[in-house]
Amino acid sequence: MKSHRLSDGTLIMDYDTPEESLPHVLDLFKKLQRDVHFSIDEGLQRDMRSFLAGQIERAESARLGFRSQGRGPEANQSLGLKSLFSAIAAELDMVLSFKESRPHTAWGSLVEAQEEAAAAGRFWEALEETTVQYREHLDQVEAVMFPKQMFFSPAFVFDESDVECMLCARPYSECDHIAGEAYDGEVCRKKISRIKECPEISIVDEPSAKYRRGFNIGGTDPITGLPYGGSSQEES
Amino acid sequence: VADTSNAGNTSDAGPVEITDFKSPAERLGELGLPRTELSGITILPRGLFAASDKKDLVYEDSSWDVRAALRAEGFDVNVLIEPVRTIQENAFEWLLPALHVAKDAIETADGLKHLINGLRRIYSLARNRSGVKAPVRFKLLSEDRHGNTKRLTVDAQSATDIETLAETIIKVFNEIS
Repeated sequence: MKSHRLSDGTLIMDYDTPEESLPHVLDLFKKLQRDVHFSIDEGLQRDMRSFLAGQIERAESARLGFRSQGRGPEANQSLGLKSLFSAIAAELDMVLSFKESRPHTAWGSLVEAQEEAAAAGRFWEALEETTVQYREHLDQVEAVMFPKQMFFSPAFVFDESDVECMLCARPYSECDHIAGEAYDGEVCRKKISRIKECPEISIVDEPSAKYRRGFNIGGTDPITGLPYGGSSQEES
Repeated sequence: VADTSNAGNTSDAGPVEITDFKSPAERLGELGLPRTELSGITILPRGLFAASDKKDLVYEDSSWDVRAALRAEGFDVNVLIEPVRTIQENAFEWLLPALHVAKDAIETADGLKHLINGLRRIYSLARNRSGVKAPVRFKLLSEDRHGNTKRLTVDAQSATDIETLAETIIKVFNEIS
């Protein structure tokens, strides 16, 4: 095990396995959560963002290394760490975007944080308790920082023979992989090659994907409250 | 199996609601499909008991993830009707397919143990999908030792509710009210 110090004195360890690093990572995560608060100095937060980018890179590098050694469980754990750091980095991006008056970007970052936090708990069970608490925190952030959004949930009908597992390239209904789960450091995805029908689009309170939201509700931008297309539409 | 038109008497076993129910095999006949006696675990299409035509039957998108979770416990999981059409909705709540548990799947202690582990796996998957807010709704048609069907429904809020569901499956199988 090696260690080095950040400029602010934080001690960073290099561990042989993710398992070994877990207590330190969980402590670090708590410290990082404290520094995400809105009142914290923007310069400090930018330094923290750079630090997180490094942690994400290290976790990715570990994932690739373990994969190449055929160490599947450690590769999954590294992926879990990558998602955990990505989640808090995305929350920090949300705060920084607010400070730059970019509320739409802030929304996207919040959603990314929620998705990465959920993924971290899926990829490594040992992170589940932390990520469940963290997801509750992010839900509270959403409720406080943004007005309630209107979400859309399209339904699609397809033949199961048109769905392929992107890990093993077999028909999804026949393989034993589960979409969204990690296998040897890779996430299973499924590819639907042909949609037969879209029988309905529903308005839902709790969608699976929060990117599918109304952008123009009665002529108003539901994030800013300004007329749709107004000056604070920082992204198209 | 959300409709109650085929339901008989209802009783509660804690969080689990138990209802006398028609067997899927009987329902197949009503839809003009070959009547097949079910064995092991079978994934049922949405609206099996409410559909007026077999072309309206679709499988929940989660069906194949549920199948993989049960396969990991050694079950050979069947689907009721082929070819399989699937519906994917993007609501936050991960809708599980209704499952038929035939008596042969649980008449041995080993089978029962694997079923309970499978339900735990499914619960864990659903919690990870639906997040920390939503309960996980299980809908099972479970057979007693004579092949009579009961519908068991539970909105599981915790792993304890899965244990209760498992105990209820055993009680139903042994006809203990």
